Amino acid sequence: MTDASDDKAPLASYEAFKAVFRSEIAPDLSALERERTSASDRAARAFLICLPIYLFLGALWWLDAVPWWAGLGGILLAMWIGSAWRATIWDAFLAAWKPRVINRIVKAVHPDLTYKPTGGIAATEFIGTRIFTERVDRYGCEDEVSGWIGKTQLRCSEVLAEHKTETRDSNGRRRTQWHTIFRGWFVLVDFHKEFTGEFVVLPDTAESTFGGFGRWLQSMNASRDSVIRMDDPEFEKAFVVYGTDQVEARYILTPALMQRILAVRKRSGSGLHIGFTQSIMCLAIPRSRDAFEPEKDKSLLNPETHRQNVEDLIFITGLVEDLNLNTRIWSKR
Amino acid sequence: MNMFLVGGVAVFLILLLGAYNGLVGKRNQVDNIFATVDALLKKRFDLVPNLIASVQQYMKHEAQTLTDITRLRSTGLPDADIAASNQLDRTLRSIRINMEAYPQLRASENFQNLDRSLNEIEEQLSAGRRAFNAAVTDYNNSCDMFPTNIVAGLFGFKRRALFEVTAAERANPDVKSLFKTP
Repeated sequence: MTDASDDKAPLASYEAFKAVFRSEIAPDLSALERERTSASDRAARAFLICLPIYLFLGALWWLDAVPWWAGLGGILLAMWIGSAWRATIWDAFLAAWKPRVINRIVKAVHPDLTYKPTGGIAATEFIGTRIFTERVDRYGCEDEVSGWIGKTQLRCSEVLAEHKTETRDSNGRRRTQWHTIFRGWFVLVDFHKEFTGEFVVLPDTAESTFGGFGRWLQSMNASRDSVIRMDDPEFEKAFVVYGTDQVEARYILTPALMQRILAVRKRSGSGLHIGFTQSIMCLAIPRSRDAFEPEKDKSLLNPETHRQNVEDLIFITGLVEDLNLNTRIWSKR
Repeated sequence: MNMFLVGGVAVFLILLLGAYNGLVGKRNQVDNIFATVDALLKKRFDLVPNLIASVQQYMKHEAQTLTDITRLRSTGLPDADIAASNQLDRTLRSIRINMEAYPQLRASENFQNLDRSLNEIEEQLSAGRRAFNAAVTDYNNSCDMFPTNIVAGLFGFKRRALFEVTAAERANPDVKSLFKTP
């Protein structure tokens, strides 16, 4: 048994996680793995029991032995009961997944972090960063991870923000469509300098698509503050910066930080959005998959099952060092 | 015919007005950022007495440097004399480099606060200079590029100078000479 103090060091890579996983985490998960295989067997048996019933009802309907509505209704009812039965089989495993598996992984990646499955970045905080200016009509968050990375406080969660549009067809029927504003990790991290303005660093789509005309379009953007042209050509090519103060923007975005942000962008993908407000740095990192969700078909004892979640966590906690936010040589401590 | 003439003159006047206003806006932006840099220089200038009060009891061997820095401050505000401001830059840098040799000084709470304030103001000044140079480049481009250069020449808009790093600042600091030579 390893001493608890041994796992105090944060993990820097998936390879490091694999070693810790095999020696410390996997033994703790073996009971839950037995629960998973047992649930999987019971779910398969339930399906085998239901299948002849579905076939029997289908045959009655096909042979017109019962009225069509009774045949269809019978099949739907049987399928609903079957799926509810299988769901109850998985209930215990699914309920245990986040508290037992994800919590353990979060603590392994960084012992000072706390995980709350139902917590998250509030809609007011998300909107307050002004990274996204679209009206938010539906907002959801989960999987909050928070804590201190050295001298820097970090809080993040998965976020799904959407807005809706309503149209009417020629018959006057209303059609509502939901559009994703942002889906992925939303990270709030204490910035190491005090500032009073508001700034956003957004992917530069207009300039990279339309060149000089795009630059002009950016300067005409009424929903944003003034465009701030940065003095790093590579950064300027990748991002457009809007903000309230030309000098303060450069106080925040030093040449070194711009290079660090470019390095983070290479790893996170080109959809990285960043905001700076109230001395907080906010990073919106798009992800198409729902992180931390239970894996019913994969063994819990195989580290590969957890790879994506671990890599996301290492990437997020590593942002503090990647962006040099633990350097506290200014007035803010 | 008259309609075309009137239309042409109207378009010309609108373009002239746009170019003129654009140049005024960019010149004002340069002045605005220069004023910010000036305010930051004054802020740093005001930290000098605190710096001297914090370090003089520890850095007795560097009395000459402290005398120099007091003299530099008494010559007036930095923007009044660029040479004095540059000299103040160098002297402040030399003091801060030599602070490494005074562990008692570095442990002092007062000094730590002051050191943080100086770091902050230096970083803000650097940002101010970068912002100023960006605004000047934008303005100078308008003064040089066609067709706004015609409007600039017509109304007397002159190119502005960038903040430049002096040869002394480019060189690697020789700590000993910086500290001991006035």
